[in-house]
This record gives sequence, structure tokens and C-alpha cells, in this order.
Amino acid sequence: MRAELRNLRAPGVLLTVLAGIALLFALIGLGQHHDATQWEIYTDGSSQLRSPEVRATYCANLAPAECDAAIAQEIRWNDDFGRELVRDHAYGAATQRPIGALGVVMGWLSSLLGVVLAAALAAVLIGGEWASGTARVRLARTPRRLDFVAVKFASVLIALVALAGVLWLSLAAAGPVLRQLYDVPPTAEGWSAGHYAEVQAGRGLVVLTAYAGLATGVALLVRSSLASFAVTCMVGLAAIGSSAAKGAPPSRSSNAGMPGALIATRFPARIDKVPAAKGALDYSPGFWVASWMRYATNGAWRDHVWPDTFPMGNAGDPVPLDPALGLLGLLGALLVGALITVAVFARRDVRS
Amino acid sequence: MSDHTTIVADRLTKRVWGRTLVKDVSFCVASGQVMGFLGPNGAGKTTTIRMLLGLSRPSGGLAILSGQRVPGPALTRTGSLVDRPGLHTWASASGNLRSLAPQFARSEHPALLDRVGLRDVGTKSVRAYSQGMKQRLALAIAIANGPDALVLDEPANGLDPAGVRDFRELVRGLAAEGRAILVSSHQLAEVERLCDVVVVLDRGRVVDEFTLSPDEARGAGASSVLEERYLTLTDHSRSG
Repeated sequence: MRAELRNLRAPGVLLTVLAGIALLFALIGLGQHHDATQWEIYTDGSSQLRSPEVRATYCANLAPAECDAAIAQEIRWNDDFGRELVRDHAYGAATQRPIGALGVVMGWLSSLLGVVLAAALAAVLIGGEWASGTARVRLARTPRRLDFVAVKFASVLIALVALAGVLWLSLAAAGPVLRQLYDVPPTAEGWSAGHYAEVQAGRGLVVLTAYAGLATGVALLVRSSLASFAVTCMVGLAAIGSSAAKGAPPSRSSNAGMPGALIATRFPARIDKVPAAKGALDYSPGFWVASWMRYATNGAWRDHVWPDTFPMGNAGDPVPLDPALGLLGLLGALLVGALITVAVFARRDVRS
Repeated sequence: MSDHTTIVADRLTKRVWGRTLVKDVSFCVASGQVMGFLGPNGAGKTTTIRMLLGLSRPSGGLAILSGQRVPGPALTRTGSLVDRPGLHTWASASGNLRSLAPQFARSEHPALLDRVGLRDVGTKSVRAYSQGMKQRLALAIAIANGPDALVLDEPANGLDPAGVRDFRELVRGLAAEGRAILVSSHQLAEVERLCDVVVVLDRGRVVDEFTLSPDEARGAGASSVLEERYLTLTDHSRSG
């Protein structure tokens, strides 16, 4: 295993880390910008509704009593909006805190971003070995192919977890800069960044294990860096897309279908806010990830959030899916994938 | 060195999509012996070698290394070189040894690299190596860990004359230590100098196995003896 870990020095691993940091910060920047814009709308509204100039303009044709009532109603709506922002945008503020950043990074890595990075690492650590012929050298000295599969899986998983650590440290270091750049909604009273990070990291590790398994299996069977990267990304996209394909409810606003809907990074919703539609698509791996991570699967209450959650469920017939079932689905898929990989890989000739 | 230091092919057969690539190939390389494995292109040499190393599953027959069936623990005590050298081009020679021969003590790296003529460039990136230098490093990886048996497919490819001579001395030295060595090659003159026994494969079948006379085996002359015998055995390759 130590020899295997030396492969982490391969230039491709460094490139993957740099690409991961770039992608993460691009997405974080977009999310922070959106959160800051929303918060600015709330704070501007709050101050303007109380200013004499706005009152004079707003109430030009109203009696004083009607004016007071109308202004009070506007303030109530604005305050509701503010409370909603504080409740639903906790991850925005968490991003700017060192501990909360861990939860945010694990949330991102449990999304399509994690699949892409796992695919890239497997392409370097496994696909690269086929290309260089070192896989053949190793296999000629390996009594059991299963050992090779296990070592490769472990190396991809270790690299992915290490990458999560690097992304966390990068985001934590960038926290002061983000605080200067973006005035995002504060977190709700009693909300704990530590608890958030703990929960996200714990759940995210399971998802990363599944992604590492998927990427390893594909890279071992496809035997080409580029092809394994493409196939893993396609499988991940298909799994996530199959959840999204359940369709947004008619009430969703226009931004429901935007690309951010394919990327999960949300503050985990409460269990009672994880409805799922009946049907075969409930059992897609993307849906299992969403359920296990407690991402909102009902897009109806997430319309204002970008990046949104990736699996947009059908609000028409919501059925809560137990996160434990999501976990079971993920572990089952991992086990079945491992058995298929080992069975096929153990019998195939090595030609490269 | 184990008492079972041998390489055994026992009626090895390989069929792919109904086509027979290798059929009933049998031979045995004893401890301390160097066997030349000859045959025209496409005769099935590399296919046989892959089966011996567990890289390819035989459709029939057995591959046995050091008395143990392949695939099995004996693979960890077998050095090999198949096709082009499999190396990490981003690492140095020492880095490749650490990665691909991890049980080999790091303190022994300079001596091993010296043995294959790479001591002075051991810390350079393999990307800057010539084909011959890569071949030397692949040989170093194959013989690291003190294998009981060596299976080498076209090992002298890309080596310059001095490299070929060094390689010959290296292999003879390893055989003298009691290792069983199988060498596939197209260089008949080199096989005559290097090998004790020769197996000739043609169209997937063993067509002859013979011991080289001491004169032939050490290249003391009559280099055409093996050549004539080989070309006669594989006559179809000339005519067709």
C-alpha cells in the first residue's frame, strides 16, 4: 500500500487538486454572490420601508391609516423573507467559517463535483497505470487480482479524502476574504457550524466511498484514462439526472431547471423536508445520495436558492424516504459494483 | 533459492474467440538454466509468457512457477519483463524501484542500478531516458527482490552493444546463482551465446526443443547452426 501511495506524486494528482480548488471556488463564488444579493434585497427593503421618503412616495394616494397598514404588511413580508434567508442560507455563512467550511466542502463533494474529481483521480491512479504499462508489471507480481482491486480502491479513496482535506483548508483560509467580499445572511440562532460540519463530514464520507468505488471499478474495467474519466462522469450524471428527471412541480419558478440544479451543496434539510416521489426513479443512486445526505428532494421550497439541490423530486405525491434506505441503497450499489468489478477483472486478460 | 526453482509450461493452450493462439505448449526450465524461447512473429511466444505470469488465463493446461500453480504466491518471487518497459515516466529510477519493487531495500538501490549501468542517472526522471536505459531499468525492477525465476520477453530490445553484453553477463550470473530463466528473443546470435536450451514455437505449437552444444551455447563459432535449424523449423515464415 505504501508503494501504491507513492503514485499520489503523479503530476496528474496535483492537476486534479488544482482543478478541484478552481471548481470549488468558482461554485462557492457564485453561491456567495447569490446569497449576498438576496440578503442585500432584504436589508435594502428593510431600511427603505422605514424611510420617510419611501413612505411619502408609497402613500401618496392613501389615507394615513391605510398607509400604516400597507407599510406594516410590506415590512412583515420583508421580515418573513429575511427569516427564510437566515433559515435556508445557513451554508452561505458556514462557508465563511473554518469549521463550517468542512461541511460545505463535504456537501459539494457529495455532488457531481465529487464524482468528477473521483473520476479524475481514478483516471490518473489507475488509467495512468494501464497507459504506462506499470499495471502489467504489478499484476505480474500479484498472486490475486482481488488484492490489486482492493489496493487501487483504497488509493483512490485516500486520495479523494485527502483532496477533501485540501479543499477544506483552502476554503477555510479563504474565509476572511469571503467575509470581506460577501455580506451573506447570518445563521439562525442555535445553529452550530460544528454540528453541521460533523454531520456533513460523516455522511459525506459514505458518499465519497461510493464515488471512489464507482470510479475505481470503471477505471479497472475500461483501462484508459480518458475513457474511464468520461464513463464515470456519464454514470454519475445519469444517476443524478435520473433523479432530476422525476420532474419539477408545476409551481416551480423559472430557475428550477438551471444547471445548479444538478449540483448538491445544500445545508441538509430536516428529515420531514425530504419527500420523494413514488416510482422506480426513487431508487436511482442519485436519489439515494440525496436521501442519505438529506438534500431537499422537493424543489418547491428551494426555488430561490442557487446552487440548488440536484435531485428535484415531484412535489405532487411526496413520500418521505428514510435516509437509512438511501444509505442501504448506496452500500448495496457499492457491494454489487465491487462484486461485478472483481468477477470481471479477475477473469480478463491483461494486454496493455 | 528454493529446490523448485523452475518454470513449467504444461500443455498450455490459449483460445480466443474460437481461434487457437497456443496449443499444448510444454517445456520446463530447470534451476540454473537459461532457456531461449524462439519463434517467428505471431508464433505465440508472448501469449505463452503472459500465461506463465498470470496475465492471461490459459484455456487449457497449467503454468507452474517454483512448484506452485499460477496464479499464486510464486508470482511474488518471479521477475518479469513483458512487452515495452512498464515505468512511471514522472519518477526517477529510484522512485520506480520504490514503487514497482517495494520490498527491495532502498539502501540497495545504488548497487542494483550500478549492476544495470544506471547508477549515474538514478535520480534523473525516467522521461529523459533513452529506450535502452528504460529497458535497463525494467530489467533492474525484474531482478530486484531476488526472484527465483525470471521470464523475459525480448529483453535486449533497444540495448546498445555494451548493454547487450552487460545483459548477457547479468543473466548468466543470475543463472549461476540457481535461478531459472526464460528468454524470448529474435536475436539468434545472442540466444546462442546466452542460452543452454532452446524451445522453438511455430504457429502456437512447440516444434522443437534442443540443448545447445557448449560451442554453440557460448558463441565460440558456428553461429549459423542455430540459425539454420531455426529457419528450417519455421520454414513457412520465409516462404510465406
